[in-house]
Amino acid sequence: MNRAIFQYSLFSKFTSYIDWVVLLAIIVSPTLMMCLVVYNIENHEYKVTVAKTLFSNFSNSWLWMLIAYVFVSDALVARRPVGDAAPLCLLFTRPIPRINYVISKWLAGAIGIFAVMVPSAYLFQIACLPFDITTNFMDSYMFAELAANAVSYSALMVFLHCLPPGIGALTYATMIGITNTGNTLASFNDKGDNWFTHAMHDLFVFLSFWLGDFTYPTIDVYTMLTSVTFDWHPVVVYVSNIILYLVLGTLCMVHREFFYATD
Amino acid sequence: MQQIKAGHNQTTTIPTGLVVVMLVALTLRIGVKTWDKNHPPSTRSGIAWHDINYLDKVDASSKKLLLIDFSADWCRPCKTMERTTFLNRTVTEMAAKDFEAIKIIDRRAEEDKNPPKIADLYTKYNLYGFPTIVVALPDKTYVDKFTGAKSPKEFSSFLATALEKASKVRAKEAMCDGRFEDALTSLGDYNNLDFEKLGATSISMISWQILSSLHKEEDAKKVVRQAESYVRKKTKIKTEDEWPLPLFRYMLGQYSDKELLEKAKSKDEQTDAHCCIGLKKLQLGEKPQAITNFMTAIRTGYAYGETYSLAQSYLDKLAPEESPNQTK
Amino acid sequence: MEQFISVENLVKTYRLGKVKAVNGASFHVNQGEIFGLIGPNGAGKTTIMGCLLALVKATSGTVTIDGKSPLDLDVKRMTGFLPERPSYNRWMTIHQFLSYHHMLAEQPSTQREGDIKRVLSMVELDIDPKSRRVKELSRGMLQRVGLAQAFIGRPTLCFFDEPTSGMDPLGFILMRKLLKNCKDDGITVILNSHHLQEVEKVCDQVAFIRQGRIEYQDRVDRLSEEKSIILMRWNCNDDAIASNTTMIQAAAGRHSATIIEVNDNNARFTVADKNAAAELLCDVVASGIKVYEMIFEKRELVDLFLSSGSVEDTPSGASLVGIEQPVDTSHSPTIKSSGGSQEETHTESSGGASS
Repeated sequence: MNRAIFQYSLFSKFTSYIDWVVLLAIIVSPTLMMCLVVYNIENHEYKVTVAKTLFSNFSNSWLWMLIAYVFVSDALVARRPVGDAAPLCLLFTRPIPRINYVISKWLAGAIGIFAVMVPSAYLFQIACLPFDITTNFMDSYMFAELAANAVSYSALMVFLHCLPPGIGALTYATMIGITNTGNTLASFNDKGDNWFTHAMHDLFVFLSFWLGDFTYPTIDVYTMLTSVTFDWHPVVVYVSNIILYLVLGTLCMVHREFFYATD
Repeated sequence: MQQIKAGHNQTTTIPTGLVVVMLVALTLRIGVKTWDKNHPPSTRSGIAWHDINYLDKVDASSKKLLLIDFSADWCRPCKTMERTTFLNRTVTEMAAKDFEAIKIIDRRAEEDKNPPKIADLYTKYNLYGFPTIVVALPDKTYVDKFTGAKSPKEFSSFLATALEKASKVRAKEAMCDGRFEDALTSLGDYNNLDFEKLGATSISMISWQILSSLHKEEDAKKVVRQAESYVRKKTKIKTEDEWPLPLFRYMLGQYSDKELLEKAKSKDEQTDAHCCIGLKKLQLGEKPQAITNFMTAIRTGYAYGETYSLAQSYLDKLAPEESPNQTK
Repeated sequence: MEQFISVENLVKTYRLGKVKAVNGASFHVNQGEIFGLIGPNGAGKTTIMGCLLALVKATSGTVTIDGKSPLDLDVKRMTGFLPERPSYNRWMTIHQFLSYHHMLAEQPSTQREGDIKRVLSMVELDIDPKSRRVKELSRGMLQRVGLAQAFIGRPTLCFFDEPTSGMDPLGFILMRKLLKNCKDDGITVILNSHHLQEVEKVCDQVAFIRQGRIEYQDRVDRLSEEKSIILMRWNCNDDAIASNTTMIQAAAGRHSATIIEVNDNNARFTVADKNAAAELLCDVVASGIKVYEMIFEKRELVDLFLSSGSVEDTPSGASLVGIEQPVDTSHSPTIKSSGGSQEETHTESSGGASS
C-alpha cells in the first residue's frame, strides 16, 4: 500500500468546501428523502413500509457505486468525469508499483464508503424516531453488511477505474445489461418460437449464471449468519470477486499506456 | 549492451501469491457454482416441505396452519428464497412450530398444463405469479398470501401476521356458522387486539358482532372504542366524517343506517357500511335484510377487501345460492 | 564514461503496426550529460520519452537506464519528470500538490516543508503556495510548478518535455540556469525541445529525430566545428561590381572554394576547412577588394530541421541554398539572445580580415 495515494484518495484531495458539502449531501440524502416521503403519509403502517423500502437503498448498488466513485476517482474534486490519464502519467514516474496503487485506492475507497454509509444509516435511524417508526434498521448484521459491501464495491470501482477512460463505464453497463437481461430471461419460461430466440435465451441465461455475480458484489450478512446450514456459495463468490477485481485492475494498470501522446 | 534484470523490483510486478490466491478463488468459485447447479437449493431447504397430496391428509381441526409455497423450477426468486429465507433460523423454527409446509411446483412450462388439483388451488387462491406463499386454515380457508421474494425478516413478520390473522379468520368462520362461543375463543383476548396486524375496521366489526350476539354489549362497545382510538392515533383525522369514524359511531349506536350510508362516499366505504349494516340486521334478527345488505356490499366493493370477504363468508352460510363465486 | 541510458532499436507502433511512431531509434546517453531530443512535431520525440519513462511500452527494442529496466523502482526513485502538457491535479494548492509528490517520491516527511521551499526558490516562484491553486496559474507559472515537482524528489535523472513552452524570457534564463545547475550536480537530463538555440547552448549531445528515426546524433561542440560556409562582405563602388565579381570567382577557383552565390557586395562560399578559408581571405584582400567582414556560417540545428532529407546524404551546400530565406528570418532572435559561439566566430573571422 502507498500511504500518499491512500491519504490523497481518502481525504487530502478534498480541498474545497464544496467537496465536503457534496459528501455531506450524500450522507443526508437518504434521510432527507425518507422525511419528505414519510411526512406526507398518514397511515402508520404504510409509513413503516416506506421507511423500510427506502432503507433498503443502503444495499442499492447505485449508492455504493456513487460513493466509491467519489473516493476512487477524482471526479468530484476535478468537477468533471475524469479519465485521468494525464495525472496518472505523472504519478507513474514515481516509484509506485501498480499493485500498490490499486490496493491503496481500494482501501481508501472501502474506508471512504464505510465512513459515509455508517453516519448516513444512523442518521436515517434517528430521523425515524419522530415519525414513531421504531424498526431497528442498524443492528449488528447491518453494520457488518455495510462494512462488507464497502470493501467489495470499492474493489469493483477500482477495477472499473483502472480500465482506460470511458471503457470502465462501458464495461459496467455491459455487465449490468448481461446480468439483468439474463435474470429477466431466466424468470420467463417462454424461450420464443425459433432457434435464434432459443439460442439467445440460453446464452444470456448461461452468461448471467456464470458472470452475473460479478456485477453486484453484495453479500447478505444477515441471511448468511442466520441460516440453519452455512452456505459457502455467497462467501466464495464475495471473496473471489474482490480478489479478481484487484488483480484485473492491476493487470489493466500494468498493460495500460499513460502517455498523452497516445490519447 | 547490458542485460536487463527482470527483478521483482519493478512497478509492474504482481505478487505471485496474489495470482495464486486469485486462481484458487476462481477455481473454488467455479466448483461451488457447479455444485450448486447440480444440487438445487430446494433439496437443502430448512423447511420440511410436503407435496400436494399431503393437503388431503391434513386434519381439518389441526391447530397448525397450511403454508403453501407455489413455485416453479425455472423461477429464480423462488430459488433465492430457498437459499436465503427458507434456510433462516427464525423462519424454519416458526414453520416447524405452527405450520404444515406444502410445496407446489408449477408444471405448465414443462407439461403445458397442471394437474387439476393444482389448477383448482390456483383458482381458489387467485394465483398470478411465482413465488406465491399462501397461508390457509387446515380446511384450506384463505388467510393471507404474498407474491414475490421476501427477505427472512419480512417473511418471519409475514408469518407472525398470518398467525394473528388466522385467529381472526377462525373467529369469522365460527361467527358466520353462528358458533359465537367458539368464535370468542378463537378471538382470544379481545381487550388486547392487535389492530395494526388485523386491521382496525374488520376486527372491530367481527368482535362487535360476536360480543353483541353473546349479549356483551358493553364489551363490544369497548372494543369499538379501542379501535377508534387506535385509528385516531395512527392517522391524521381531519374531520369527524372521515372514514372509518362513522363506522365506529354506527357500531356505538350513534348513527342510523341512513346517516352511515350518507357518510360513505367511495365504493370501499359503501362496502364497509353495507356489511356493517348487514351485521346489525343479523343482531336484530332481520335475516333477509342482512342478505340484501351483504349482496350490496359485494356488488359495490372490490374482491379481497376485508369487509368484502366478511360479507361473502356470511352469504356463503346464509344464502349459498346468492354468493358469487369467489374467483373470477 | 559508461553509458547511463542505452536505447537500442526502439520501435513503437500504434494501431496494430499501421502507425510507426518510433522506427528503430538507437542512442546512448552518458551520466551527467544533458541530452537534447529535437525534431519536428510528430517525429516521435515524446513517444521516445514515454518509452524511457516506461509509460509507453516499446513494441520492440530495449531501453536500459543504469543497467536496469525503466520500470525498475530504483530507476523511478531517481527520476524527475516535467510533462509537456501540465494537466496536474488542478484543484489543489501548490503546496498540496508539491507535498503529494514529495510523499510519492518517498522523501522523508520531516524534510517536506524545507524541500518545498527549496524547489520553489529554485524555480523562482514567488507566490504563496498555500493560497494559490494550480488551476489559477498562468501557463508559465504552471511550467515552473511542474519543474518544482520534477525536482522535489531530488532526482538524478530528469526528463523535461518542452520545458520552456509558455515561458517568458525570464523563464528561458531560469531554465538555462536550472540546466546548468543540473550539469554541475551531475544530473542526467533528457531534454525535448523546439527551442533549438536553447538546446544548442545547454546540451552536450543532440539527437535529431524525424519520422521515428534518429537522423543525426552528435556532440553539440562538434556541430560547430563543421563550419564550412563563409559569408564575405566588402565595400564596393557601383562601377567596381563587375570586376569584383570576376576577382572573387578567380580567387575561389584558386583555393578550391565553391561559390554558392555572389552578390554586389557579399558572397557565400563553401570551403574545405579553416586554412582554406584563411587563404581565400588573404587572396581576396590581396586582389584589392575591401573586405570588412568574414563570418563562418555555423551549421545550425535549424538546418537539420529544415533540410528535406537525411543530412548525411544531402550535399550541405545544395540544401543550404534552398533554405537561405527561411534561415534569415528565423535568425534574428537567435543572434539577439545568443552570445557565445556566434560572437566567437565573428571575432575570429574579423580578426582574420584585419590581419
